[in-house]
Amino acid sequence: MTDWEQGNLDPDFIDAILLLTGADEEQFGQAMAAREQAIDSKGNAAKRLAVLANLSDEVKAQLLFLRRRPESLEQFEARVRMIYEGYAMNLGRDISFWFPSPYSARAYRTKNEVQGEERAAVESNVFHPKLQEALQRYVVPQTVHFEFNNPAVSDRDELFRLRGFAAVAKTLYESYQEDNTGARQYLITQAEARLYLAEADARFGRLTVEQEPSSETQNDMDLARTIDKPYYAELPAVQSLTEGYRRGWWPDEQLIERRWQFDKLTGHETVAQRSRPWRVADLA
Amino acid sequence: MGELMGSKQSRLQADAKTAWGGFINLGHRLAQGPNEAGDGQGFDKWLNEMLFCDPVLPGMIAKLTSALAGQGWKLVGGRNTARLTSHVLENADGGRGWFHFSEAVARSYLCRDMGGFVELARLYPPQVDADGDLITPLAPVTALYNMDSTKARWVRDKLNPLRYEGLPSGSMAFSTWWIGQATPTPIGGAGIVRCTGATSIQSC
Repeated sequence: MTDWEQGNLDPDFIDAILLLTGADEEQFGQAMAAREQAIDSKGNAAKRLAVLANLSDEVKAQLLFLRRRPESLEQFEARVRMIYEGYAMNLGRDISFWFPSPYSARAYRTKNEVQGEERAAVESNVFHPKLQEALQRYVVPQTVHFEFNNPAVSDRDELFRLRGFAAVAKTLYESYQEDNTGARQYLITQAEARLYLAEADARFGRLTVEQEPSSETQNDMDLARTIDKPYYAELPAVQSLTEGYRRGWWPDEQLIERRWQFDKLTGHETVAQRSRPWRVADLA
Repeated sequence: MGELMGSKQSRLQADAKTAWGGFINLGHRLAQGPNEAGDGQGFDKWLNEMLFCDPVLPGMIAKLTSALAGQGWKLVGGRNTARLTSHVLENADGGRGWFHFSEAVARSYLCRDMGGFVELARLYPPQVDADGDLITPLAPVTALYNMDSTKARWVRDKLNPLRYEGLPSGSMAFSTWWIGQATPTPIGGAGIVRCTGATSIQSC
């Protein structure tokens, strides 16, 4: 990191960019040849000017000095955008490469996949809320709260987020700097890439105990008391339970949370029950 | 030079119509349409037959329904009540389980005009007066069963607006309070119920 920070003080570090819009290959070649000549005559200092060409529209040359202070916010934003674009162009991509979103990443998927996911997302968003409401109204007693873990079934957005992490890790792992002798220095090692991914999401890998960040309280029960209690107390079913308890309709009971889960890989259904640290009287 | 060799793949052979026959038939039959336009149940039956003519659609539906059914849930409440309720949900469809139950409801919801139906078994039957209004509070639900909506039919009867025709001994009428219609579609049975004025039906 220090090398990178101090690197821009080197005489051959780029501090100006010549942006050619609409240049054809010949014109770009001429510009590069002129740059080579300047480097030959003036030495390393001439390397400070880089040339970028964009093959569209009419020829338009724009000289940008990276060290000059931008005059407006727009100019600053345009400059940041241009650097992103230039770097992405270097990788053979457009600017959306750096901003993976559900929409940009669709480019990698087949039409069937996209339509299937769309359909699943739409249908699940309709089906589960309806079923949840019907069960709460007609099946589950009014003192018990029923809730699907996540009404939206499709983990499409989550997968796209993970895809973004994978793309960044891959790019970092494949990127290197080459010195004059041709020796390559890679930005990150394989172990570092793995650590980066494991930190991003548990699906990529597990952190060791030393790598896991430890919580400050070291007391999960305290945490549960402070976080969950207001959440439980606000549930309509729990409110009617405590109301009924106040009026003497129902006895004081331990509050429990019971979960049903399905493992898609093994096809096993599991039920887990945990007692909450309060009784109905504590919430009333 | 020998004569041109034919491909061993059936889709490229002369009798390709056999391999893709179902798909071609699907086009023909879809163009023909159902027999009776106003019959929701007949339309469902026709659609159900159509569905399995398609080479891709049943697989997609299976994938989607299992995704819908595999969604986890949680119950929060007092220990005894929550345990009993959880037991009802976990043993839905006569002990086949929640996954089986919700998969069937989801398939019914996705594929049928009538929507999905759920039969609610209660501790004791609801007490109603001559007009079909409740006299006593409803008993707690003790079991859940998915109903085949192609065999359920709306009838002009305020007390028992739904008739189930899948029984070997003939049809059986259900009281309104025994049936929860999970998800009617606008052109499905819900409209019929609204016309007959049976507003007490449990639907959402």
